[in-house]
Amino acid sequence: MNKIFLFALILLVAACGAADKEEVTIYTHRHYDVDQQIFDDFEEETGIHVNVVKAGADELIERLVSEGDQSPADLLMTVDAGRLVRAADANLLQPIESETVSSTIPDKLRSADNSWVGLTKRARIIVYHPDRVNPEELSSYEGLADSIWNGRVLIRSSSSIYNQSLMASVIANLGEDAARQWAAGVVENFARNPSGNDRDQVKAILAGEGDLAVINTYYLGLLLNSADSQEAQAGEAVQIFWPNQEDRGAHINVSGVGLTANSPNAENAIALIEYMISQEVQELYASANYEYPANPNAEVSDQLKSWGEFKEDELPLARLGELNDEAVIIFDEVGWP
Amino acid sequence: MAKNYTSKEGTLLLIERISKTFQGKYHALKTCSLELRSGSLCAVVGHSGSGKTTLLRLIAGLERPDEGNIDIDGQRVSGPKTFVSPAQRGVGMVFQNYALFPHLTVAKNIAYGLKRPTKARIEELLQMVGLSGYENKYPHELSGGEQQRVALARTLAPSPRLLLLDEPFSNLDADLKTGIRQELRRIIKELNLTAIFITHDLHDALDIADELILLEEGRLEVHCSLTELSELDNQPKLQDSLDRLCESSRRILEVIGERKGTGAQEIARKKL
Amino acid sequence: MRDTSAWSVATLALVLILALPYIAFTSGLLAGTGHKWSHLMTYFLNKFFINSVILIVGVGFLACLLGISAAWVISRYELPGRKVWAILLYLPLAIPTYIMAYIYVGLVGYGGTTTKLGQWIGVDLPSGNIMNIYGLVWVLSLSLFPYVYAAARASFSKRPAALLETATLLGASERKYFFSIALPMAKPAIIGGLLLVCMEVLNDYGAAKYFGINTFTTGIFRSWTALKDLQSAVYLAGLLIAFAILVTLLIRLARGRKSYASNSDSGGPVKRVKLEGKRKVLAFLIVGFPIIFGLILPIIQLFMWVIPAFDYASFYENIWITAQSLFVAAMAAILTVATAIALLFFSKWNALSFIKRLPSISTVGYAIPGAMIGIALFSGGRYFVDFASEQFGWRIGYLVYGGLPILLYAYVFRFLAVAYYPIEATSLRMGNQLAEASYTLGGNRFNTLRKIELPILKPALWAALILVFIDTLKELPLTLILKPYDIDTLAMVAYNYADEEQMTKAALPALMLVSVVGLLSFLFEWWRSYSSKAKDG
Repeated sequence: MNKIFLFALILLVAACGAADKEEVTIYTHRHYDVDQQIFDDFEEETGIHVNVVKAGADELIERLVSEGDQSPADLLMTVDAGRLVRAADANLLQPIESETVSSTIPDKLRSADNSWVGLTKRARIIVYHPDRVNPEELSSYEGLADSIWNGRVLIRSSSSIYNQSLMASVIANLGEDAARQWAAGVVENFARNPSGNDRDQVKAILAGEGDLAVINTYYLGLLLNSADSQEAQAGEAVQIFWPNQEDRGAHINVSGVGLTANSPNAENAIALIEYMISQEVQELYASANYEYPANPNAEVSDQLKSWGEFKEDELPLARLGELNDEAVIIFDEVGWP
Repeated sequence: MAKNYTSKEGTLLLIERISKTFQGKYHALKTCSLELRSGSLCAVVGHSGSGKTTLLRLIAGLERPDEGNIDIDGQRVSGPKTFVSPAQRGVGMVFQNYALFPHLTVAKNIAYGLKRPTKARIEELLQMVGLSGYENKYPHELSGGEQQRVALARTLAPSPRLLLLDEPFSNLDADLKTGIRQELRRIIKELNLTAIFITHDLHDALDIADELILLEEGRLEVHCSLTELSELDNQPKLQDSLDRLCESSRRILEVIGERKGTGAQEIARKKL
Repeated sequence: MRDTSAWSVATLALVLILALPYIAFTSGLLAGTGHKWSHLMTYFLNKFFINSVILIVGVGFLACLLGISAAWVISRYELPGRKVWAILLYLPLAIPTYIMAYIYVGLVGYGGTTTKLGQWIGVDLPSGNIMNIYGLVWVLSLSLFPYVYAAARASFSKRPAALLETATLLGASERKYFFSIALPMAKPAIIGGLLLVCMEVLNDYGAAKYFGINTFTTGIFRSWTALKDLQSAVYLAGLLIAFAILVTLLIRLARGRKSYASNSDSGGPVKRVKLEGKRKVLAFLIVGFPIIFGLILPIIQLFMWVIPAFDYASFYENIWITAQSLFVAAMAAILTVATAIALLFFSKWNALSFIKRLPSISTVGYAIPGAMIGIALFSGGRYFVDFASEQFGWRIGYLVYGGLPILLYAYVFRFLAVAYYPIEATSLRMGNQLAEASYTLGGNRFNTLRKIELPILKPALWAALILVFIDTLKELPLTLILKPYDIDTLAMVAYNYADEEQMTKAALPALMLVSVVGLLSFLFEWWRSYSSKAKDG
């Protein structure tokens, strides 16, 4: 039995090493069906096969570090800019030499050396229960530290990269001390110990555990269009508020892609990036996944339109990655679990 | 058996026409009757599968007979409408492999059946079986003979009215066996106990028992005293029943012959 | 015997191969703490510790309560449908802890299934937030108690009848027999099961993260991902391993010198008692409670998610993923059991007592968070890859990164404990006499192993195979990190969707996972009763 097994093993190993066709390998933290559809379409159009490895961005970065110059990866795709900055800092990425990319995607949504580029945007917004919250009292993220929200604020734990990015943007805009004071104020106002994901925060509003929540637009879209009728109701029961419209604008983050330093199929990889930022594909992201397109020419979907236009924070997203460490430390210092 | 049993003064165990089948087909015991006098030491012999263990288990209450009655000391413990649980029968049983609790010390094994275990009582029992000083040993640290004595002490601890022993000598070396047989008899007699033991070795029976029961395919074929056996020449009825069949009874005759020297061997040969 | 030294070397070699990831951890420990260590010390370390202890004690207690009582009822009493209940009680194991966490939020959370059910029958049923440490204890216990159940049941049902009968004749009540004989005798087995539970608790990441509870393992991840201090993460993992080794040794010590091998194997197993009236109801409650809360309600919840979002395309895709999962799990199970056998017998055949103790060290991998094993293997594998390319110009990176061999090695490393302990336990019970008898009859080691020992160990081997198989099917972080890009597993797909808050899509692979494990358990149980009947007849 063992001999047969060994033989099978050798065959498999051989099979893993022998593939020799036009391909591109992508390490991605995005687990959406629409992504697979886009990769399939890309293969149909170009004949280039897309290998996909899905895992957490941190694991993937560690894997890239270990693999070094023998890495099969061409692209690293994450759901936040912070991890792309981290990968770039670890010299895992190389500049994307593409005129199309530089001309299509706004500067603030990509790194200075073009080693990574944002594909889609998500905004972190406030949702509230219209019966219990007077929207006139809402203003900004900073306002959530105000004592009128005592015991009313729902937000997930600080291990969420979305909260880390938000904190980084607060640090970038207000400085470290003010950010610390703000975080301490929000902790004072927690309706409950942070737990669950963004959807759970919205449900907790309906359950009466809190009155408002800080969540991603993308999850609100998923909630509203959920196959679970109860979830859809939860989404419909809350109102959306765009914070900081009077000053810097709402915090946004991107899901983006970087070209790996040792990419064996760099040309194919750049072709895939160009394909992903094309207007058509960008509109697909928006309609299927409730993400705002990074390509300004792409139309947003009806769902996104219904939430209205908003002013975004113009902070270069690379700053979010740079300030991520400080953000996490502040969270720990103020006891934001 | 032709004997007609009625309860008499001094009868400790009375079994009337009990039968037991397993899974509805296999007849372990077929209408067996038996009377045992108080203070008697009785050996049960027979082939494996002849129903010896089943008989003991029915007496102990570990199985329910399909029909028939069992009385102990004048009390009905098993009948069509009565069933006294094993714990209430005052019957002690030593299993073939002793069934010592492997995770308990010798002292705790012995104390298991005592309502109020005292050091003195445990010491007394250990002394009786010749194992003083073994209190804190574990069963796996003991030899086979020692394990058996612990099992005996444990069974005797709650002072049973009737002692049952399933193949008590089967796991012992020949050297040990003679000594232990005599010791067992001494203890039983000392305590004035009534006891039944199963053996496949006729020498065990003939050496220490007062009475002998022969089981054959679930039927109780012979029940006689050792005295009757030793005077076999004067017991035509017993001779008949021994003569009637079977290997086991022939074997009894052979063994008795061997033990008595040539005279008895002739008897045996004559009967074959 | 004359070849003793060869077996010492073989054992040592095997243990060393299995110890490779430890080299990474040891060098991590020696390298000291990272730059964020003092931060971790100040804000987290006591929290990690307290929460981990609460979880281990709480889950350990609840899992024992559920597992032991159910095992007792199943092995001691005759209930209608007993065989089916006996198998259903294994199945909560098929639901990964993180999925169980999402399921319970879906069940009792606001607007969840309980609320819907209440609306449907017109009653206001309570719902609430269970995302706290007590909720986590509940969720982990329900998905882990089968480890205790399996161990306790095996031990209870193989107790020879003579022990029970002796106790009964000596006047012991059912209760006294349970507490003074059955339970103490089952202690080594139960502790073995409990050890697996503790290791799983230490290893849980998904459920604790979702509930917002800081444990050692979430701490490792926080240090690594949020604080970007891999060195401290490895250091923490090193501490966790040291802790796990300590627990393992303590448990070995607790098993102690007492031998529970009972020579009283006459009279066959205990006959089960028929129950009537109140006691019957109670028995049903004891068996029913864990089945309802650990299996039936979770499956209902999974269906509540699957049905509204069902489409055939994803169904077929999940079938394909199931096939891949089965393939990977089968390879992992066979390899792990083979390693366990080799380790057990190599060490048995050698004479040095310190070598005999080594295998139990090799089984500590179970306590190490899968993600850390993945990282250790990568950073360890890097030396090999660099060495090969520098010295020989070989490019063997594909073997180490995202290749099947390294994934399988990782599974063996991680799940050796699961395979090793049941096989070791049976082997201990078997003793050495049979093998020695065979040697005196001229058998050599291998044909004795093949003809005598392995056939006797067969039930344990099957049990080990099945357990590793199930564990591999459920395994998450290792698979995520090490898997080849052309292989998907059910657990992974389920997690990816759950992590993206798409439970309606995560539910289908989760349900398939439960079905596959359920089917396997039934087949296994059927095979076992069939083969034991064949033996009797």
